[in-house]
Amino acid sequence: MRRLLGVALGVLTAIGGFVDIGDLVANAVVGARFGLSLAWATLAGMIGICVFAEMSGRVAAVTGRATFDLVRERLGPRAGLANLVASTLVTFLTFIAEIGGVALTVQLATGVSHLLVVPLVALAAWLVMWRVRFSVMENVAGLLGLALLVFAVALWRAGPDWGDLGRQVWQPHVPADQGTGTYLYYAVALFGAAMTPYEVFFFSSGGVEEKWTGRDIATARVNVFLGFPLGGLLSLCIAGCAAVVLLPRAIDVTTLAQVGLPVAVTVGAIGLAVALVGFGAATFGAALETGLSCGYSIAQYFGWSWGKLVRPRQAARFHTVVLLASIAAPLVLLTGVDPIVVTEYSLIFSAVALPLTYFPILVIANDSDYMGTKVNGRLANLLGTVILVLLIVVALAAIPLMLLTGAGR
Amino acid sequence: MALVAAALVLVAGLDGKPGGDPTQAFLDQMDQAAKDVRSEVATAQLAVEQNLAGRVPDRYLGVTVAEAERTVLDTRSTVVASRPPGTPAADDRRRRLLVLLDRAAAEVSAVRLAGERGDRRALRGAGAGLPRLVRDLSALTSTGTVAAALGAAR
Repeated sequence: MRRLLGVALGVLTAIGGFVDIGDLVANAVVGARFGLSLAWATLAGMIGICVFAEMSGRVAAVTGRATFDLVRERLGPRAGLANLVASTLVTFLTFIAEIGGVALTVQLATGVSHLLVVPLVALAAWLVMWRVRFSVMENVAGLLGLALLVFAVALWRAGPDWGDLGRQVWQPHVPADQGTGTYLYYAVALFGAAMTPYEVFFFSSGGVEEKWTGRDIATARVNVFLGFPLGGLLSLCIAGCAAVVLLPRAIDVTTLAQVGLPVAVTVGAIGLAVALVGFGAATFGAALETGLSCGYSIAQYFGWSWGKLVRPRQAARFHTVVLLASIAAPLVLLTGVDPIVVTEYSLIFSAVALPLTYFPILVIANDSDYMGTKVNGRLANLLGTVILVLLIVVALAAIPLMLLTGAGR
Repeated sequence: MALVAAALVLVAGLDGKPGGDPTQAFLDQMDQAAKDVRSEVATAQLAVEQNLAGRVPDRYLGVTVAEAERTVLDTRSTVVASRPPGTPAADDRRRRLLVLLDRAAAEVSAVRLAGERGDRRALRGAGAGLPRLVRDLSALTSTGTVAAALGAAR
């Protein structure tokens, strides 16, 4: 019974923890411009993150070591460094965006300028990363993130033409008033949002923090294969709300306030309050994950002692990296840069870094020296290879698409 | 590098927009400005409607409208500073757009002030002109589909 409750809790936190500022913004922007005709990109990204999160979780459970710990050893310092630089920069950019997202949520709830709130949010995030137990931190943020289910309620209450929405999903097309380049640019953004690199670093590092063994692989698989798809469905609900409420009014999403308006229209003030709780939990939870992931990746690459279970004095360099990230992120935001713009760029640069992040995981998951009998099976390799090819195409197209469409204009 | 170059060439051919005609490029720029402002005015309109119906709190309305106003003012500044290529079509489009942008700045600003003062009557009055402004901005954009849809919805 206790194990079942643990699995249920893991699934719920995976659903609540799936959505972050990138998913919120990208899905609302796309829904308001393209309806659900880009749902395929979210679904492809969701399958991709499921395949690779399962692999990285299995690697952590079998070897007791996290991704970067093995990448340098298996691929050598140069390949490992390229992986480290690209992934850490993208993760830090995402950390900035998440801190900004929390501050924008507080601004919407209180009316206080987000610039005044940013330093307090960064301080709160650092204190939680420093003091709060890993499981408490993960479970509270993930469960509160379930408040975003209000978007599913909002979509249902909006009473859309379900047949029409279904056609948009299954017969995708480029709307008449949008260019093909813009359509593909947002496909890349959605894919980047679903497969953000920090998700696998955090998942595998979390497995090591929680001392997973081979017996935990089944639980990790249930979390991944049930929780992440339901999280992906939640992302589609956010896009669906924007498609039903904002698209007919020709409203392009450029602010977090616009993301919440469909909930207000269909559910009312209580629904909007619940959505704000969801925004806050999703972005704060992701801020914790990205902040810790900055420390995880650097500490694991250099072979430093790391983790929240290790005494701070023994993992001083890991905690110093987390502290420096927590200082630098608000400083970037205090320059006045729009957190939503940071989010949009983080998604595109995330797409560029995707192959560097995921290729080593595929290599290690196939290495019997590390994995013994738990190496990838045929299906995992087939899916992993197909997704990796897709990742390379996405990575190559991301920057040209950004330049040629003026970042999706 | 070759792969990146190939990707650039491929993507460059996707939209097939003419890049050489300065008048067309300017008209496209004005078109985008009109769409951006239309989106912000429509957002303000929706937020006001929901606030008056009790579905959006005053603070949320305040932040939403202030952000819309900032974008309207930024876009207006960009259009004011723009240099049309000297053709009648470009001059005419810029002049007509600036008239609407002035209206948008004034009306969204009035909505923000009414919201900040908690004056619901003034808010209702200030918001009354927004639907018409959205229609006028739609009429100035190249895509008739949204304008038609908005007209049909009313």
